[in-house]
Amino acid sequence: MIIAERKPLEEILGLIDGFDRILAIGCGGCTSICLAGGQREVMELSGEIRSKLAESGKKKDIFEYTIERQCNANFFVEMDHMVKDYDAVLSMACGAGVQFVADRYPYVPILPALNTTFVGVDKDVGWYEESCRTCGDCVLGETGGICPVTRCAKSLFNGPCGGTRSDGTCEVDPNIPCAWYEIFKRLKGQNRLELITKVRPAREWRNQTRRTVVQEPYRDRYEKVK
Amino acid sequence: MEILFSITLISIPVGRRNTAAITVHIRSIFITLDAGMTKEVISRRVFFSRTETSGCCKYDTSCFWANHFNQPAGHGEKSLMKSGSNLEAVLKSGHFAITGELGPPRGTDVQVVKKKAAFLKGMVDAVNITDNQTAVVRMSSWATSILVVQEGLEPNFQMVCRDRNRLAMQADILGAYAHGIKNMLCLSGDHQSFGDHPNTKGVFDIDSIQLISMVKTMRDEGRFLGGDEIDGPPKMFIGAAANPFGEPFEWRVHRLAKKVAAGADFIQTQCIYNMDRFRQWIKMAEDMGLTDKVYIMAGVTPFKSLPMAKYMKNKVPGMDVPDHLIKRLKGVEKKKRAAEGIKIACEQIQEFKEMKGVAGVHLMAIEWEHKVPQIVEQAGLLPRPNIKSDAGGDTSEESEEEED
Ligand code: SF4
Ligand code: SF4
Repeated sequence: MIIAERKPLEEILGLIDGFDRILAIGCGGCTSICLAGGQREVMELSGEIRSKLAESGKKKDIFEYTIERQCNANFFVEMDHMVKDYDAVLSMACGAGVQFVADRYPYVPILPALNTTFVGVDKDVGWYEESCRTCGDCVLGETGGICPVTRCAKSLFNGPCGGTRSDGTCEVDPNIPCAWYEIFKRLKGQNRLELITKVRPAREWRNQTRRTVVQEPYRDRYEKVK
Repeated sequence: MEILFSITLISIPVGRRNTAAITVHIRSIFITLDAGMTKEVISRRVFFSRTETSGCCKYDTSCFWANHFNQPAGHGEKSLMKSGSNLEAVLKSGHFAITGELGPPRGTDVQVVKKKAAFLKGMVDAVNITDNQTAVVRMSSWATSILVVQEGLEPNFQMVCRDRNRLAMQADILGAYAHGIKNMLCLSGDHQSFGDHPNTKGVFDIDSIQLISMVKTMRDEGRFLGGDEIDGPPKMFIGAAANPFGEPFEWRVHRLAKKVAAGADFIQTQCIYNMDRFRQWIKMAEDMGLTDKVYIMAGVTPFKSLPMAKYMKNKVPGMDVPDHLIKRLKGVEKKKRAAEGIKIACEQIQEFKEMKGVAGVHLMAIEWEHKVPQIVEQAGLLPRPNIKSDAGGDTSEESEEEED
């Protein structure tokens, strides 16, 4: 899942400065699940904006609306007729959703209310941890299911570096386990250390330009469209 | 073998050689043939195998083979070296080598480099030039290396993976070699969060082991990582670091093996204080046959003071300082502690000299360059061997060593 955090209120106020009528749209997808931009968070945010503005005797017209997902155009249909009535749209989706909304309504400014942070997992309610950098060439099969790109501070493919602490934590932060120490432990436990004894060659980075994915069953269909 | 002889014989210009020399050629050719070797590769191998066994080039200043492979005449034993660096020559000759360290200035003051270099000249076989050490911006390591060359010292150009991608790395390696830099040390680098620009983007396009392999490919295959041919490949003597004390301990020697497999010619270790653990590590390396394949230089950093020793013990990740050393420092008067630190370092060096599998020491006297002459002297490492790399140089010392 994509994890995001809300921007500080001050920054959001700066973004919406100069716009009187604002449509604040929540997303029912990832940002709702990670408690950053769902229906509840949209309400909370507009409430905070209103009371902050009220302190200095100002007022804005904010309308809250949440759609199923902001990363699929089919869900936009229900708000197509509303957007033209507003000066700006404040999106509470991840960066992908914000851009998709902006592409749909190019005539109105679209503003992000969140910082999209990472692809990760729930550690507990409201507590998330990064686990994948979407490198496009997954090596988890050879690293005991532990991602060296994300979890090693230097993204080493032939770790560990010389800095691993005596308790097996990373040189960068004594609270974070060294990814390669963990990889070693796990593969040792599985009796599969040979997976990391050979030199892994320099990789062909695949996340350097914008990527698209077309799943196998749809290849013909989109080939024709092109 | 027949094929080989015919290639060799056809290409020997008899007019320029006496029969004895030709006999030497024929007698000493002994190489392994692999399927798919080109004629160029075969004759290159013949060349190297010949010089390795007979060393006849030493007697002939108009050596045909030297001309044939476009090497300077009278190259002598250097021809069978990978880089021809002084450090390589010293290690290859079996001398106990010593390298030092010089941190570039945090500005453009060349005098700082000159001053430090003056302390190290004649004291060490090569000097490591650190590359934005601890992720703090300094004069670039290749530029400082050139300054050091001008001062008559041989640099060991350090390169970290944190600050450059593979394009910049290869470009810098070409440039460094073109300026006479022949040793390099391939490192991952301290994480950027430790430095003076903690939120910079760490590059880590490739890691240290991949860097080693890239430099080897550039040198031995004459190709860039991307596969294209290099017009005049850089012949670097390739170094790597090893930390015998990092966790997981039992894996460390395997990581060393990976560095050797990737192409490291020499290893400089992390500062060693725990001699027992180091001995254990070197024994493991020996058991795996690694000490025959790579020159291991043991890292030594003398304690300057008690606070420094404590800092090393408690604050530097991956460092192992036993309590008895802290006690020993505590046991002497405050103003005699620096001398005691040097004494400890010299005792360590003595032990390393006698330790099987250790080819030299890497003395990291950080911001203590002026003490290096004293330490090297006190450790009995002077004078340094003078193995000349120039044409017609005195190679008698080497040939003696080569006999055993
Ligand atoms: S290797 Fe890591 S970053 Fe790459 S796809 Fe797998 S989990 Fe994601
Ligand atoms: S200590 Fe481990 S996780 Fe941290 S940078 Fe080094 S190898 Fe990576």
